[in-house]
Amino acid sequence: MPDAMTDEEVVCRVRGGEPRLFAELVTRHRDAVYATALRLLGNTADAEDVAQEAFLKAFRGLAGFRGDARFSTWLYRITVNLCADHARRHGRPDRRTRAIDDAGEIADGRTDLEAGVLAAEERRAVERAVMDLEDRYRSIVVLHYYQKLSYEEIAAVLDMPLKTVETRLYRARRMLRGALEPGGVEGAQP
Amino acid sequence: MRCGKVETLAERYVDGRLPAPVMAAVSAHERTCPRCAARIAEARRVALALNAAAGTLTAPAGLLDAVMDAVYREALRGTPDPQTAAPVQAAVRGRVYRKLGYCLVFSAAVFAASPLLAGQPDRAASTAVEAGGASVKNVLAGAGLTVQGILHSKGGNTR
Repeated sequence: MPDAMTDEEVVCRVRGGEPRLFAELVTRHRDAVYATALRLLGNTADAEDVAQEAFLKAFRGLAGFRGDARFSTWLYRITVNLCADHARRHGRPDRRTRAIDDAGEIADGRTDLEAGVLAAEERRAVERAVMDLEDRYRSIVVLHYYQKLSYEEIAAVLDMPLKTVETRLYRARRMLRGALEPGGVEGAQP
Repeated sequence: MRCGKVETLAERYVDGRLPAPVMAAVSAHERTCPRCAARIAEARRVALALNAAAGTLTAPAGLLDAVMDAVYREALRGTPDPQTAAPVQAAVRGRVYRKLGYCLVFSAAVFAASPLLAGQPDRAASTAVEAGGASVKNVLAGAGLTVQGILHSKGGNTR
């Protein structure tokens, strides 16, 4: 049964001539891929296009997937690279097109207590500030805090040293603090 | 410790990721410097917000179908590995037939139900069903030939 199989086992069977099983991989990872694209691009239509393209690119590249990294890591790498390409082609996301909050799609699992501690308005302010970060910082913040990837996983996804991941993450947080401080300037420099 | 140093260490300090002597030095400075205390408080606030930002975003309902349609189109266009070509094309054929089947069953049901819904007598209904059945046969035969033609042109097994 596909449910009991690991991603890597499903990949083997897809490569062995069962393309219908690729649907299992899409089902498992579609939310993560879409959420990552949306957090990086800030636009639901672009995020959907990139998510679709990421899965198709993964399908095309399955023959070359060596299994050195986990399938999910590889898929995140494809997604982040496609988002970077998209941003290069179309420029930085325009605040007017940022639909993460406006679409009301955040179905979070926070408890009432946590939600009480963190006001919705403050959460939105942080999300807006994240969207204003430079791409190289935003991708790390999104992967770590929103997608819950470890430093090691991020280093594998972005193909960079662990120390660089940590340094950039702390710089990003310092920039966010600068942007959110009373009288702070959004997009503060590292 | 100087304020400039605290500024650069505030995030690591709130995460507890500094050596013990440095943690103690920042803590002592925090107690005596209101400005740095405010910086550290802000760093804690950002950390709390980010750590609580576990909201998951749900992919659009149509994403799976859109991806799999593209995947099957890709497979139909040509699979580079000849070993996987036959099963891929068989899967494509199955998917195409399944979609056609749904359409035809739906069409037949509409044909059969239309006289009843219009309050026509049984004879009209049976005539419509016969006519619908013949149409279904014709469409199915045509669709089968089309699919076989596509697969044949791509070098696949059309049996």
